[in-house]
Amino acid sequence: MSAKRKDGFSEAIVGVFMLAVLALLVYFTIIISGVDVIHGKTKVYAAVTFTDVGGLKDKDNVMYRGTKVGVVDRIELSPDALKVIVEIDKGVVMREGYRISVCDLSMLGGHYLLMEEGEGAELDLVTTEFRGETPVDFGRTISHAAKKIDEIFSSGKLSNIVDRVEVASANLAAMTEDVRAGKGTVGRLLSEDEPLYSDIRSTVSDAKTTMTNLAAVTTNLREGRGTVGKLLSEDETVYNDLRKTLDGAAAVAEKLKSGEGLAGRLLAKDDPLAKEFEDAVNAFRSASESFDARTTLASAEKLMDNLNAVAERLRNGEGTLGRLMADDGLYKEVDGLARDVRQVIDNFRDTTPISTFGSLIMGGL
Amino acid sequence: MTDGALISFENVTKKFNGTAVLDGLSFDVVKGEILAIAGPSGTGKSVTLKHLVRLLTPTSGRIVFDGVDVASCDSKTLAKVRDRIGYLFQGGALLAWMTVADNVALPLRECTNLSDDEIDARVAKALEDVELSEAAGRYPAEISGGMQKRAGLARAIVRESDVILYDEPTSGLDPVTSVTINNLIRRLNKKLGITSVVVTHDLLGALAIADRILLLKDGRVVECSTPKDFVDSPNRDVREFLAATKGQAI
Amino acid sequence: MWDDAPRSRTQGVVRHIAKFLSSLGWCMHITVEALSDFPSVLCRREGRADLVRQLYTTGIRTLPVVTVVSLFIGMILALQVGLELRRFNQEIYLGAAVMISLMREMGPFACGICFAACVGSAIAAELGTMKVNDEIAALEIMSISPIRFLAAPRIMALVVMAPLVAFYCIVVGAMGGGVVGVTQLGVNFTQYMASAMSIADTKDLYVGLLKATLFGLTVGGVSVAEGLGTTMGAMGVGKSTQRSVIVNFLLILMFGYMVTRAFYD
Repeated sequence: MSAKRKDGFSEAIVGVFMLAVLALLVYFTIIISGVDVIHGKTKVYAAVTFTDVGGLKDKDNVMYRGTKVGVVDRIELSPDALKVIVEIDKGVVMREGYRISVCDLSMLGGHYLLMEEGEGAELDLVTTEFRGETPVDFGRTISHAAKKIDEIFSSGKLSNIVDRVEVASANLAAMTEDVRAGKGTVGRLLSEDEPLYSDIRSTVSDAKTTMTNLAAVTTNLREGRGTVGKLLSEDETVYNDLRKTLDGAAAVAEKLKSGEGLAGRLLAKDDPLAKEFEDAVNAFRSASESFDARTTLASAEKLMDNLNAVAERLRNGEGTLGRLMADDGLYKEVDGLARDVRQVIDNFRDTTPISTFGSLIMGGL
Repeated sequence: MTDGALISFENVTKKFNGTAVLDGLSFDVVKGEILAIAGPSGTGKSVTLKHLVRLLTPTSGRIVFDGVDVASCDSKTLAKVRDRIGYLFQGGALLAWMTVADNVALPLRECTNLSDDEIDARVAKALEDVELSEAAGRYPAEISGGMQKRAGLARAIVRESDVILYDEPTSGLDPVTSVTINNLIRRLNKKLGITSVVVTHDLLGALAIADRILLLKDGRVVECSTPKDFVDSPNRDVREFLAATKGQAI
Repeated sequence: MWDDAPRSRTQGVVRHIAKFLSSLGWCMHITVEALSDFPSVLCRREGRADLVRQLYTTGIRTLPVVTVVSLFIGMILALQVGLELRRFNQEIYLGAAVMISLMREMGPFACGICFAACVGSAIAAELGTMKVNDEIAALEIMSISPIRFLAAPRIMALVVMAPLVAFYCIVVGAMGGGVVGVTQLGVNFTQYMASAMSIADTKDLYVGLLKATLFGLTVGGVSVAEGLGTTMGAMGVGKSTQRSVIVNFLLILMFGYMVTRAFYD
């Protein structure tokens, strides 16, 4: 091959290669830039104003009806907001009631802008100043909660509460033990010759009898054995039983109302100790019912304060309730309460991590 | 500096890594003459020649070409100096991807505004002068060493330079080709009036073509005289060099 | 630079540092001068012819090597990334992963190393041989600037061809990745290409091509400087060639990082 022909061949090959690659490059550029050569420009720019974009950045995808319709072109910072300029297909339809939010792409990170259409009148993509919803920063919320938990643990509040519950339980246990053994005033109350005790026993016995009778009468009535008038005229026994029952019930009710007897005095709520005890139980109930990490701590703390104070005073035999503690039923009730409190504290200990995390997530959501 | 001297070396010293290759070298070249610089290998003959076109710069001393200090002049002046000087390298120094004709035409195409026809005419004449017309379209790799040197010579003369520097023009050539080259140098000198500086270790060739012969030893001038005086010189180094040449010739 | 021998070890070290800085400056000088000579290359008929010759040498003759290198780079990328994606059943993103790697880094990098190995070394060896054969000196004596005459067309050819060859690398690499995706990872080729095109971005593409252009300029400048700086005969030619390849590889990595840092903060 002569030098000139060789040079000509080289030139041709170089030319073909360069043209081919350049053509491919142009084609590739057109394809990836999303320009429809035949139909012209298919993208429009829309502006969405946010107060916080939650990490959204340039080139993040814009999703609409579950498909990608564009990308975030740029984010402009203004004094009071962030303006996100998105380049989207001009076929996207936005209506009044629309929602635009920043969503997490995955647990590993990344974001996308979700555009939800709405149901009202159609809005112009270019001229409408859309407003986006402020995203929840999942990471920041967790971080904040973790910091709070750390503060609780590091400040010793939780362990303080547990310690106080344990002290309260110990006090209650010791107190009930004393009562059971008949020690002190409360113990003396348990003796058979004590009039007050006897009065209570009789009152309770009366009440029980009355209730049994009342139950029998109501059962008869419910079972439709004749009318009440008929029963009164035809069956003296039934009438007398009913009369007696009602008298008993009235007497019991009167006694309770006037604060006679220990149970009556307790029910009359005129004793500060009784009031204190009621507050404590209410606080406990409230705490156990609305068992939630945020309120439990405060409730439990209050409960423990109350229980501690009550238990101390009961142990010292103060107030009517202190004296009443000799009663077996009341003992069981208080003992059961102590067990409940202990169980609640145990449950609280077991569930604290889960409930805390759960409440954080729910709170975050 | 001698009257009428075109080129003058004035106490030129050149050191490479502390070793002096040229050691206070001084000589003149008169316009129109053929000066042969002879000497054993490694005495600084080619280094001397390269100083003249500032391919190397001296450690000390001056090299004057037609009144211009080549060692210290600016690049424009140097370009003008170089325009007046042709250089034939040992291997011809032809560019491998160009034909002989293109190689010869290269300085004209790159440094003049001559038309293609004028360039072609001058190239043809230069090739004719070196008797290489038949190899015009061939690449350097396709011609012999002697032809490459002649092509290099054609490139040196095509610009119609005032001075041509020959660096070992006959080294590596057979005696017949060597004689041809020597005759060519002599003929160009006579025909074109070109001042020539021929670096050679071929003393017989130098004696045949040179107007003066300069013998270098250890970077210094041992003898600088006409061929006749050179042959008759009582200098011990000259005698030794002549004796070695005679022995080689025999 | 210095005709006398160093008088002490310290002076020797200082001279080495000065030589390094000098060679750096020499390389920069050649590159800048060659860039300024680009118009003269295009204006002269011989310059244009030489440019085409260099384009052919740089672009066309390296294509076989470039094809193999980029094909395997794409295949390796696809295999490595695909195996990891398969663990999460996300092979659908294989095309995107391969394409973004090729566009941003591997395409220009493949082009750069091929140019350094094939073209840069050849330039250093060619100019080095010309230097020791006095061809460069001959040009200088003829008042022909070796930089304008020899360096500019070569560097220009590298600068012009680098982005084109880099794009070719991206395409071939993407094809190689597709082959692995289809044959070994069970990815549908259409899906692979759709994923690849969905992630492709003009910024990534053109920053990659810019990077390749810079690599071309680097390879050209370094190789020409090494070649023209050759001394000490055939041994010097070998050393220049070796040095040009090493320096080019290092600079390609460094410049690659710098460009990435500049555009992807």
